[in-house]
Amino acid sequence: MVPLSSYIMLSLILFSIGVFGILTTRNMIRILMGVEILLNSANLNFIAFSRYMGDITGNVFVLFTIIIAAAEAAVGLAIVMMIYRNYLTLNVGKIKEMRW
Amino acid sequence: MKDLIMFLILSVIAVVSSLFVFLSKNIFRGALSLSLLLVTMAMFFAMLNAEFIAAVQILVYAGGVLVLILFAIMLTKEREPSVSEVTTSRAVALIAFVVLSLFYLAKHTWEKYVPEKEFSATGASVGTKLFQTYVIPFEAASFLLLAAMIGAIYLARRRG
Repeated sequence: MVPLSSYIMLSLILFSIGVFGILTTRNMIRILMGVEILLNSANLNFIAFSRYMGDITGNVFVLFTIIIAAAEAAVGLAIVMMIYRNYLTLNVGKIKEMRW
Repeated sequence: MKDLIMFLILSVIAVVSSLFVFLSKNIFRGALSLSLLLVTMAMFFAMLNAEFIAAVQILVYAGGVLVLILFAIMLTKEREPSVSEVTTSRAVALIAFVVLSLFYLAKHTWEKYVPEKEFSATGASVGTKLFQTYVIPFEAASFLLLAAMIGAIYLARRRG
């Protein structure tokens, strides 16, 4: 059986890569993909602790996280489409004004 | 032993594919690499006896969220490269953070968590917990999904 600490370490590495990517890229869609990586690394932690502590609550929470991630992706990508239509760019550094 | 080998292979795939999300020249390939990461995560969930969550992960993430992302990529056009600029200082900061946190984790003792042999998060057990203890959050989540759907349609609609 794999020790619990290895799951936590993997989750930590994935989370760091996600934060690094979000901070260094300028493309909005890539930033949204980074958010998905962050949520998934947190989910891995939830499931691992749920298994090792013998408590099913972690699984239920991951279900809620997945629901919220789906809602976040839908609204986030709708916002991306609207910004692209108005500014014709996906670069977050170039979007400097709000309309109202 | 078999578990450990499986874990190592899957974690190498997960780390490499998550790096490739940000480092691939073509953003479309980045999205496909994200799908590989999501499927790998589902395999981890299956390894941890969370069969129901593994199925939901593939259905919702690989089937729903990823299709949304691919649509957004195909409907927009990148005019400049969007690869993460990995300078030396940034890479050093990332590696230093990871190594220091790993040291911190290694100091903690996790051995007190010993997994029980018969633990299985099937659809039945997750559903029982969901509909007994967490009914109100479940209803709130369904309302959130409705709000997100209406909001997304409103935002993406073309105004005349």
